[in-house]
Amino acid sequence: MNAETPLEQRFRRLLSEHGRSLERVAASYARVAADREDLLQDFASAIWTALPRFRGECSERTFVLRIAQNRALTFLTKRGPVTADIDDHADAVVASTGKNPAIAYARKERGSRLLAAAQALPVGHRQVITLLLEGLSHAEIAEVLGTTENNVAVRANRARTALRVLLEEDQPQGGPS
Amino acid sequence: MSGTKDSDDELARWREEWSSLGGASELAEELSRRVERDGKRLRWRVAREVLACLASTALSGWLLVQTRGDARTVVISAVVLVFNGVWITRLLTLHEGSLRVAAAGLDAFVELTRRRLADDLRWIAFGRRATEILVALVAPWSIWVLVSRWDRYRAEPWRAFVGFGVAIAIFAGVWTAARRRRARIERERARFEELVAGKTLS
Repeated sequence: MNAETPLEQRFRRLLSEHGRSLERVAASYARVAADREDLLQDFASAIWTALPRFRGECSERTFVLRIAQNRALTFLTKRGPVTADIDDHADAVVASTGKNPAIAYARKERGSRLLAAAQALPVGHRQVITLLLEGLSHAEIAEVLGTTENNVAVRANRARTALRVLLEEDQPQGGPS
Repeated sequence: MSGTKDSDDELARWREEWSSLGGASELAEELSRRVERDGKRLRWRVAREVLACLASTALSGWLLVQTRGDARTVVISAVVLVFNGVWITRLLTLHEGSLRVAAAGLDAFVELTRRRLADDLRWIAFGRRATEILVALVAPWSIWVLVSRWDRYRAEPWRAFVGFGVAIAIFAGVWTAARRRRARIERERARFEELVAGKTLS
């Protein structure tokens, strides 16, 4: 039985403390379960790689969420044509019906409409809203994204408006469709 | 005031719903196991590449000593040493880049990702150029071999098919792989810029 090094112990602790946050960030970027799992593993690998260089310049939560946001952006740029096709199809549905298919689907499947609405936001809004929903302050979000608090305030305001509109537009009228 | 309170209530409601999502208790264990496995695989891959470079360098040195500086061995060893140097530099550059990019802030991340993609494209361009130079050197030599051993190849054509066929297949494979990789990275770069533009405009 090998004894765990302090680094391994720290890594496990980070994952167990922030695992749920990581899951939610992954879910807001990857709609398909297999993609979500890949993305989560990618987060974990990146945290493991970056951990030896982490000297406590920011809080551990900031460190973990920053890595997750960066890897999520990389995931979006690298994802395969299959997922992109699904998204293109979804965009086409939005354009022709004015409804967001992800939210309609989430309602049908009794999934989270909030998560589906967050997934439907543009990336810039999604980054801020997911961090805001995780309970981070504007200052902490600014630290995660490497930007100014003013910028975060503006983006958060727009993101919240967009989220509200998406959720209101898809309020069930006269029972579930 | 009331608007702010409504807005705060709304955010609190959203946060409550959000925090109820996710929550596989065995996630940390499972991820740790996978990272450990992936880490081992990655270390082995790097170790294999470094060992291959060291072995080919040692072999070149041994051949140089054995042949006492034969001209052909000198040329081949020089090519091997240059290739190994380039390969190790690439390995270290990419490793350093991936370490730096992981925990960077968003602006730094964007900058480092752009640099990584540009570096990748430069390496591919270098690889393609090196292949072209190699083809330019090997082609006349192959013709010379073919002409000088014409009778032998006529008697046993399979020798020509195997020898030249393998060489052509290797070059064609390298060329095609480089083209595909370039196309993939260019797609990735275009998509990344699209996302970054979305971020700036939002």
